Amino acid sequence: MKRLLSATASVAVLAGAAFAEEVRVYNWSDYIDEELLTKFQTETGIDLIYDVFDSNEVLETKMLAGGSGYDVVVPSGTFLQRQIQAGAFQKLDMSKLSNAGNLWDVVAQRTAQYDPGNEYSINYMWGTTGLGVNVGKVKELLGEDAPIGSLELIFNPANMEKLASCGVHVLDAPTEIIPAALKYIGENPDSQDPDVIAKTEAVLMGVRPYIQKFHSSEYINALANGEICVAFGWSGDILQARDRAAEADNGVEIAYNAPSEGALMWFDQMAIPADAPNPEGAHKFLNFILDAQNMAAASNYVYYANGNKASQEFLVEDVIGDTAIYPDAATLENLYTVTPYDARVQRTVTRLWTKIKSGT
Amino acid sequence: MRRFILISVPYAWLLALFLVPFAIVIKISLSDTVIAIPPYAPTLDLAGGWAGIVEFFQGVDFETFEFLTSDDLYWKAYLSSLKIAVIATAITLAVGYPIAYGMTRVAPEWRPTLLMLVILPFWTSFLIRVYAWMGILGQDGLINQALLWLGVIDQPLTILNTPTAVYIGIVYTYLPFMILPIYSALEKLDDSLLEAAEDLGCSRFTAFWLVTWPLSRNGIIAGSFLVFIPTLGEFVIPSLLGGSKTLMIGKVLWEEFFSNRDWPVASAVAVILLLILIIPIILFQRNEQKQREAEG
Amino acid sequence: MAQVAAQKPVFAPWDDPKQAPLIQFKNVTKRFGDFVAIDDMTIDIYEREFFALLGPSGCGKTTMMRMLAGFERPTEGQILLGGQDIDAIPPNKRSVNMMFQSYALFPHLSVWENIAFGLKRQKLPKEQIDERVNEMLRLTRLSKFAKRKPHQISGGQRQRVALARSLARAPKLLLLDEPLGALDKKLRQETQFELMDIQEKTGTTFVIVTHDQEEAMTVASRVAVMDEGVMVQVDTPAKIYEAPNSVYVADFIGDVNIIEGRAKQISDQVNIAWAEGQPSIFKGPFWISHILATYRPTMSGCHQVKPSRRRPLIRGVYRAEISLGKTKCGCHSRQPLASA
Repeated sequence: MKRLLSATASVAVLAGAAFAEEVRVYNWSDYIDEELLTKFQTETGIDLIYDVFDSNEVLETKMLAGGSGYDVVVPSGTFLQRQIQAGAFQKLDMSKLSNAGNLWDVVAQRTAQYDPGNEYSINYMWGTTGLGVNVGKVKELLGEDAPIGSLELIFNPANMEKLASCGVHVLDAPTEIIPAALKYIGENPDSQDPDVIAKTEAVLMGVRPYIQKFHSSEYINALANGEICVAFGWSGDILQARDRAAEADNGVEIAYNAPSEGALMWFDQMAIPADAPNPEGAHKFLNFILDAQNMAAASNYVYYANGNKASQEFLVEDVIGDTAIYPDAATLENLYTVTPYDARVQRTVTRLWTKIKSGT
Repeated sequence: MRRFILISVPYAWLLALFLVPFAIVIKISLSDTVIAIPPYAPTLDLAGGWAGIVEFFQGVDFETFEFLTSDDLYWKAYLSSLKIAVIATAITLAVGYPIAYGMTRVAPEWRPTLLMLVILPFWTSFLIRVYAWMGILGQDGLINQALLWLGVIDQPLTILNTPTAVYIGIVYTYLPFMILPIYSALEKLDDSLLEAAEDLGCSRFTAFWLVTWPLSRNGIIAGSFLVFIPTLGEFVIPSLLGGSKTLMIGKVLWEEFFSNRDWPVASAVAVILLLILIIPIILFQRNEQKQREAEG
Repeated sequence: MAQVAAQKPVFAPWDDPKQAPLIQFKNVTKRFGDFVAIDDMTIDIYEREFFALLGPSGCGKTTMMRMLAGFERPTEGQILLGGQDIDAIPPNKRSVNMMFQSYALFPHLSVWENIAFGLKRQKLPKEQIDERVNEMLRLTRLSKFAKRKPHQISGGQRQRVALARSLARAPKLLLLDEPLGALDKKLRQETQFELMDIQEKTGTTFVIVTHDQEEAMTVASRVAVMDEGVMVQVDTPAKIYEAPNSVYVADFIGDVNIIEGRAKQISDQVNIAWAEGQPSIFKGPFWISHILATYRPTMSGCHQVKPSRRRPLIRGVYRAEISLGKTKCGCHSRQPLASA
């Protein structure tokens, strides 16, 4: 037995020597400039394995099942909070994050709501949830004064009825849409009261027949190639659609607006799973991302704002100067954040969401 | 002894790949959800010995199954899935039977090629093929472009994200499972039976109904089960091709598991789905057995 | 022989010019692509005949049968059934039924349902169908098995079901494609007599296809020996056996010794010089074909060759004595074995 053990040990040592160190990152789809991945590998000599997902739910299930094998994952604020509670993450070792000083306090204050003291995560990107419209088509259907910057556009059945023919997509994410519907009817978007939440049913059921699909990533392409004319989605995604349409020069003009009634502000946080195989490498990756120039490169590519103050001097004017990405002080005031639902409320929300999506 | 080993192989297979996972699912369905890793309690702690097992059984209950009856969503989803599976199976049969029949009518040297063509789609990933359908059925997809160009329509049809697209996807995906058993039943059919039927006064058509159709029944049954069973729990096709209106139990299960993080309820949904499937599976097995007896 | 003839009037409608044939092939040719299956065939078959088509596989006998059933159509020429051209009549409208070589019993139907199949297509009243099926079951001694499925009965029983099924509609003409091919020898011999019996009882005209010369000789009133789409000889079994019109027929029917030599007529006998240094054969009963003589083994032993005799007729090696049925030496004019 002893001999067997020593044999296994020597194989392990050999294996360690033979295979390069690797870091496994699990991030949202369409969420990084891929050149950064190559850059990380050349700089550190660490093999980077980069997988993508398109819903917090998928990530969360992997986290809660444990043994995901990832070293770095990117949950959104409310999901991060619950996963911290479940014990899914390890505390960051700040001594290994020399670039942590680059973080922007404006964002850090808000993310502390999900991750008290920002002990478990750093902010990667943040943004708003709002309205992406195909300007030409929407104006054709609703007239020149179409409310393209208001929740009226998607929550008023009169407007939606007209838009149905050209296609409306809505995020398949109840935690994004229900707060917006609450805001529309003048309730607290962060309400945890099932009775208040239930009020959104009427609003959403009223427009539901005109919604072609609830999906959280298809709308980028669908908007860009003119297949749909309205999407209620994430700021950066819609801006990417805008750029793709411009590149394709297909006559499609996309605009993003955070709803004037107030928009949800969300944060995608990078964290290290408690059972990460290579926490050392994970810290190296986080520090690499915290680098001002790297972070700026990512934002310049995906059109999302980041939580890195130092990166701002490297951002292109298209990004830093666009209030759809970096809102001015007044708009910033108008943004709200939400906190996670407990299990009971979550069930109400999911059930409501199923009912809205399927009519049952 | 050797005989025992021989028999134990399939049973070990059944135990490892079906009974053990099923037992785990049942176990989870009896527990309660918590915020933890894993997100349910109690977990069976075998290391804790007898005390651990006792503790586990004190913690379990049938709350999740009671919950399933409290909300009409679940039985509606089961019914809707059953409806979709039945319709899709019928369409697949209607499309697959003539193909299988045609394949047995061509010269024998062509048959391997045709069989190859039926199996060929399996060489590419199922997901890629379903994505390809998104391209075909979309607003600016091949079908709409062709119809617009032909002047049949002047506004693109909305096919993608409708139940029609789900049916197209299911029929396309499972067609080979329908064709192959029917083909194999028809190929075994002796041509002289049809000549005999004609000789005894049947027209071509009645000969088909009285001889070919009943004799391909086993193939039809096998094919129908092979389509029906996976379709009932189908998740990928409705989520990629169907709009939000297509309610299927596979999708509900996904929601329970991913959105609600309620593994116990998700497991209960899965247990009931399996119980529903057991009926057709047993019928299928009995049909197979009868067929074997008839041939033996 | 004379005794047999006295019991039963000789059945030979083909010799009677007043008889109208049931089936007439008139210059029928059938081609499959380049292959000529039937080559300009003209033949009459009469009512109540038991007509055997005999020949090796590929000789065209099955094609002839399938043309009668309606599964093939002649490329040229005409086929008349009861004086009517049947070319345009599809198989299901012909008063012709066929018993298939494979029996082609419907495996999903019981024996009873198999036999009733053709009757139900005629839309007969139920009682009539019941009656007819039961009659057929009795005729073929299958009453006990009526409820069984084909895979639950023996090969011989299946053969009888096939026969009952094809006879149920009381066709004018019954075609039998190698009806006994799948049975073992003993059962085959029994069944041959059964077939003849049934043919006699029902008075149906039978056309049977076979490659088994013994079977053809046993059951048939006339035998047509076929080769490459041509009927080489059509005659009663006795004539075919004793007076083959070609080496092909002689060789095909029974076992035969063929002696090649020069023949010379000397008064009422024939002198055959057949080998250098061997004495010529002087014999009467041989049938001479130019320079070929055939010599049936059944005829040997008629003249016991004594070892003491100094000049043997033909020198050969005696291998074994084989009994060839009930044939007796010297029975020159032989009726079908069955009547013996």
